[in-house]
Amino acid sequence: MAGRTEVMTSRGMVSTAARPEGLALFWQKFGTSYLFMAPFLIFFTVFVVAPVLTAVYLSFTYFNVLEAPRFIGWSNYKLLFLEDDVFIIAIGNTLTFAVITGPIGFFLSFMFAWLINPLKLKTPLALCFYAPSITGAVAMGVVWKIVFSGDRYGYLNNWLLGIGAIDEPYQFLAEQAAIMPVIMFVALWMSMGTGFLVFLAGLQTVPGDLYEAGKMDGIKNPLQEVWYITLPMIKPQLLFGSVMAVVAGFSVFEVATSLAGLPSPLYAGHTIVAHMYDFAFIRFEMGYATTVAVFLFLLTFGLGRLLMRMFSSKNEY
Amino acid sequence: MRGCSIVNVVRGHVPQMPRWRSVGGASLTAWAHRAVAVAVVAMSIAPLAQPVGAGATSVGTAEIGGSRTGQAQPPAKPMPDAPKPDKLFEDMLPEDLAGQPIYADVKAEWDKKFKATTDVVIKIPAVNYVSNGGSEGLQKVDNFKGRPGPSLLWTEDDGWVEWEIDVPTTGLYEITMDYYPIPGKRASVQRDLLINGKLPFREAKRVVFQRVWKDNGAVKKDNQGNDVRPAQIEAPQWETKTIEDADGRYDAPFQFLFEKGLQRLRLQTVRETLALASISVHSPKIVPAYDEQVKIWKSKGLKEIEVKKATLVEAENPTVKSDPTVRGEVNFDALASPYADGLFKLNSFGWWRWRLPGQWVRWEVEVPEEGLYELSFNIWQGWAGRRPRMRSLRINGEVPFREAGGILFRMERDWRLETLRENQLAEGKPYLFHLTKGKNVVQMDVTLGFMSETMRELDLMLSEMSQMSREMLMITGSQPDVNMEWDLHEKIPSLVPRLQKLHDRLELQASRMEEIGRAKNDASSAFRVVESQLQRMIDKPAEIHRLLEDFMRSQGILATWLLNLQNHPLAVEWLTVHSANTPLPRVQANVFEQTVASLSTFISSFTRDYTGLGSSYAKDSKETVLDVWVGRGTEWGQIMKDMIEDDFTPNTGIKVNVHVIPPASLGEGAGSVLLLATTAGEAPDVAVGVPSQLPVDFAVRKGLVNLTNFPDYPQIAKRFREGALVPFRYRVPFTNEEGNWAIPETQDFAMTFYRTDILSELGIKPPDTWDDLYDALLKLQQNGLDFYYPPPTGVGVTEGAVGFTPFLFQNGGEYYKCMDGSCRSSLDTPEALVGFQEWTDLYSNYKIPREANFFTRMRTGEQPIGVAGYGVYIALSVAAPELTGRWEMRPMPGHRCGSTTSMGTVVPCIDPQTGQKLPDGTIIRASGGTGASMVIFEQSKHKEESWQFVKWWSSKDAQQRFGGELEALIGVEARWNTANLEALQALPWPKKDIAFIMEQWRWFREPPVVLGGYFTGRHVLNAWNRVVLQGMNPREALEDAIYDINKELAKKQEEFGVKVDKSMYRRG
Repeated sequence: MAGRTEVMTSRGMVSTAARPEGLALFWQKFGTSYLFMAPFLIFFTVFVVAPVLTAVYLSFTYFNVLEAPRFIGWSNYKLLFLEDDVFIIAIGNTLTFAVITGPIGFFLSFMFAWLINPLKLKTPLALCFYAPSITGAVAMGVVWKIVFSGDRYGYLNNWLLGIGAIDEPYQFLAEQAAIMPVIMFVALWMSMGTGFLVFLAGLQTVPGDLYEAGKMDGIKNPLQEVWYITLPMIKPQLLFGSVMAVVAGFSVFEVATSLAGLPSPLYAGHTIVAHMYDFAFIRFEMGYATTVAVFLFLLTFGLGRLLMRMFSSKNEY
Repeated sequence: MRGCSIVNVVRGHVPQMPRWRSVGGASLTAWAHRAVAVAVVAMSIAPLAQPVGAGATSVGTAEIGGSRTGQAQPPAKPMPDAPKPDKLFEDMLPEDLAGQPIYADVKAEWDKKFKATTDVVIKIPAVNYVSNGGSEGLQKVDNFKGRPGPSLLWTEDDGWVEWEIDVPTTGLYEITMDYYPIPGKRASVQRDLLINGKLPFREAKRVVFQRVWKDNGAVKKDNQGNDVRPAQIEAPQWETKTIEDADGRYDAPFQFLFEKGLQRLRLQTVRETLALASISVHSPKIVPAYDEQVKIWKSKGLKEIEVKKATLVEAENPTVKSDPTVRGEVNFDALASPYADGLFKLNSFGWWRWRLPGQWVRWEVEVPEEGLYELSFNIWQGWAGRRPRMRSLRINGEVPFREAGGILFRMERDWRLETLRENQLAEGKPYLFHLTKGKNVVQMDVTLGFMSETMRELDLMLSEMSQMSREMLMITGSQPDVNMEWDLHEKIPSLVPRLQKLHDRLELQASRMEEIGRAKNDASSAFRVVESQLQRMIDKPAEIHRLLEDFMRSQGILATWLLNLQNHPLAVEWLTVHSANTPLPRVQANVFEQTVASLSTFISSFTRDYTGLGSSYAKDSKETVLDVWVGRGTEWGQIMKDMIEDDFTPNTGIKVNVHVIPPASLGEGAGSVLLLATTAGEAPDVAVGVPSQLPVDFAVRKGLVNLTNFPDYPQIAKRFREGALVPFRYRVPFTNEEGNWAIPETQDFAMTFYRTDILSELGIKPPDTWDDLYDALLKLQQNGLDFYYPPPTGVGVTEGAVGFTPFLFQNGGEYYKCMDGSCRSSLDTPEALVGFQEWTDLYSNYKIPREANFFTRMRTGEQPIGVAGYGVYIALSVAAPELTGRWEMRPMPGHRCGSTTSMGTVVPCIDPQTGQKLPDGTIIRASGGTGASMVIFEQSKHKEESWQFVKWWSSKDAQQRFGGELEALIGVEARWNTANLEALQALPWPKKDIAFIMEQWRWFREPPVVLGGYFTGRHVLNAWNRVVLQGMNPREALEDAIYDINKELAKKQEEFGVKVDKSMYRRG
């Protein structure tokens, strides 16, 4: 979306600059529309486009935060792709996280939205599911840290010791093998976010007569109903939900660091954003950190495009 | 792998031990083993609920547990609290003290045999002492501070002095002394009182001679219109003190038994200095009841005096008081006088700070003629709980009549006028007080009054309850199988009657409190909750074992009340002397007035400047104005600001704006205010309370001023331990200038904390070396107890106090070796490997818990010994009243130099701090302790002035005053761990604590901070993880870490233009 807007603006500018008398014409033709778009465009430019461009610029510099940036060409990128082995761990962790929690979270959001939609207590239930996701990840981390604490009195350890499953406390937040699963578990629990609300809203927009018509046409069970009517009808919401899930998956950070720390033991919970944070604020290498950021931006942007193509609602019904 | 095999055997042994019910086939050794464990656990749980302990009794229980018959039979009768009262004071250990009988018991014994004497007064001048000991610096001075005759000055806080008193008849006496508190470290003067070389009862351990305090001059205003709290200064004067309980647990002064003949009376220093004029042993004073007293007054011809117009004495202006923390406070009420109007105005007195027994305040009232008057206070007592709060009243130094010794103020939500009256009820008859013509002193003391009995009862009941739970736990073990039939009531036949008795005693106290306070209150309801719990046990004796956990919890509840019932806050707006028909002002604001007052406060909040503290100065003015950021709470900032206005600005002409920044946002990370401010060119001149890793990071990026450039830096640096300066010292590569980039402000310490009662029970001496500790650990773990060492977390590993650092430094290892400005990891030395191995062994072989809440487990006794820092010290001092006197602090375990380590290396006899040779056998306790630091920013336009400020703030006087005021105002929880060595020794910390901290600080050494050094912590932690959790070989794990560390060190150093050896990028 961003790209398209930019192109149009610049084309307009070029054409009008050549023929000044055309400016009036242009204004007459499109002026009001641009006026209406202006608030959004201004904010979008200042708070999205400008930072992205700055980041792209900084990714080609050496910038230690306190001193002025110095241009160094492609070396940050070379370093990122060729030498940084921790980055590979971070990508691995992030992909694992995104591939597992993205679809599961997406599916769970839809399932719960679909399940509670016909209920009377829809609103309180929706709030219950939604609450964890609006509570800050750090706060959630604190709560779950007690559950997964490596202390003998951590809830999970205490219970497992009590039933005799283990004989000494297991370090859920320090064992390399356990960190990612714990993070994914907590993240899933928090995943009923905006996607879930949008699905819930989407489900209510499906006209009831479609289901009646479906019944006439031979739909026998609710699953068929979902597959043949509900899903096609809420495709735009599905698109939105999936993009949100992917973005959330790739930008996982707070849950990971609040549970496992930064850096996590043996980098077991190191994600791309954590890697970025590490370089930006612990090692003061802002230039390199923005390189990671640009990479992450391109990655999510590309995946977003892909998902849009998959779920695109153009030329249907 | 020292000791690992033995420990593993022990560890492996525990789960295989026979289950409790399959007793038949169990071997005798296993029996005894288990029994001791249970006894120790039982004993260690009990103290949770026990305020002042009966640790001595557990000796008995452990012995019972050791024999086989002891298990099957009902345990022997409860051992009475039978300490060794005959032990001479010098020989007493801290744990003996807890077993001393309390005054109530001693007095009861005395009352059976002896009577209070009458009309005896033996008064001797203090200078007639017969012997003394220690370096107490005694001086005889005539006419000291306006006191005619000779006085005895005790000028050093050390030693003891003894007097001989010729007692004419055997009986009970009170002791009164005339004393003058010599200004010292601002803490109250404390002495032990010994009679014939022995403590007569436990409370005589702490005889408190209060200091006298006042506001320093009138209240000034800052340039925002707010009142500036006047500094609290001492106003020492001669005081008369009848020895009484320091915690107000008794409503009359102590009575002592003196036999006929020469008796020795000794005072022994606890802390602080004083002068004494006379000591008098006299018959207990009898104060008549009100009715009697009025008759006496009237018979002397005193009349009620008519007062036309009452003069109000503003309570915020007392003449003197006992405590600097009790002071003027702001009251936003609509009828407050003077009205606060949304500003900070000191217009009332007391509030929550004036709540502890023994705190008194004196006001002066003036009357035109001698006679009988009424006395009224405008007070607020709306604290939750509906409990009455107590005060006692003295006029001109004397309690006028018995009832004035315990005046209660009921709870109400509004300000109200309390004319002192019978029963303190609205319809009670107002009391008359005898005032003399001219000035009279009205003194109000916090007292426990009738609640002192409740407190004592609570105390006794708690020790009874912990005794009972110990007995029960000895039968069931600490985690009983609830499905078994334990029949505790049959095995302990006295159990149910004792529970019933407890229940009744509790009910008696609950109803007594309600009756006297004329309302149900939170304490009485809490008592009733415990009663119902006890009732359940009484009703179903067969189910008692199921309710054990509740029984423990009940003890916790009662222990909390032991603390809570001691709090008696009260706010006073003004007081006045008047007669029965004098019109008095209205004090309770109506709804309209209240609304207007809160609205105007709200509106004024829009125009007030809340960013700075106190007066704030414009930056563009011609004078020098420094911006100082403080990474601490507002109260800390406020005291600092007051000190600046009071001391720094007048002496230097430099004005200072103080801004308080939340400590967390001063540190590293995205939230770092300092980082963002510096990037934006808005850095302050000086920041204090800065985390110690930060300075070097800012320094290499040209953000800070190099303090070495100031010519007097070397003198200033001498104020601190050499090892404390290490993290701030760094050679910046591009300029190749050796710099000191910050000055330490506070300093942490790692010390050994242990439970005296449990350790002496198990026969463990506090360990001096790690070898001692490993031996002790064996014994602890056999008994199901454990040692605590802080778990490694994040950067903390290399922060110095705990984690890897002590093991590394004590073994003679180093983090880095630097040559020509280029540093590489030196963890590849054998010393480092030994250190690493020992550290990981602690977890992988000795299996100490990797994660635990030490404070809690110290309270329960599960971890009766551990290494921890400042935080735990404060927590134990403040938040664990039941452990008072049962824990001690010692320096951290060390390594004896010259000894051979488990890996075959020899601990070198070299001081890790100075590099000098040490005598053989010295215990090297090297460890660090991060604290906060202060820095000057390169962006500052006033670097010289900033340096002046830093010098002033780190000076002994400023640090001492700050530390003293902080502790005085906020309490022990704000104890200031200054890095300034001289100041620390002058602060009012307990002497022995300081001595041990100084011993630890002799070995103080922080790890250096180098470029890329954050990788050391990160990868040492990873290596720890690989060894302890994944079972990797320590050597391999450490090698991996060294490779990663060196790579980052090389990379970071090259970034800043240091030539590094390319081999650092390679493995091995």
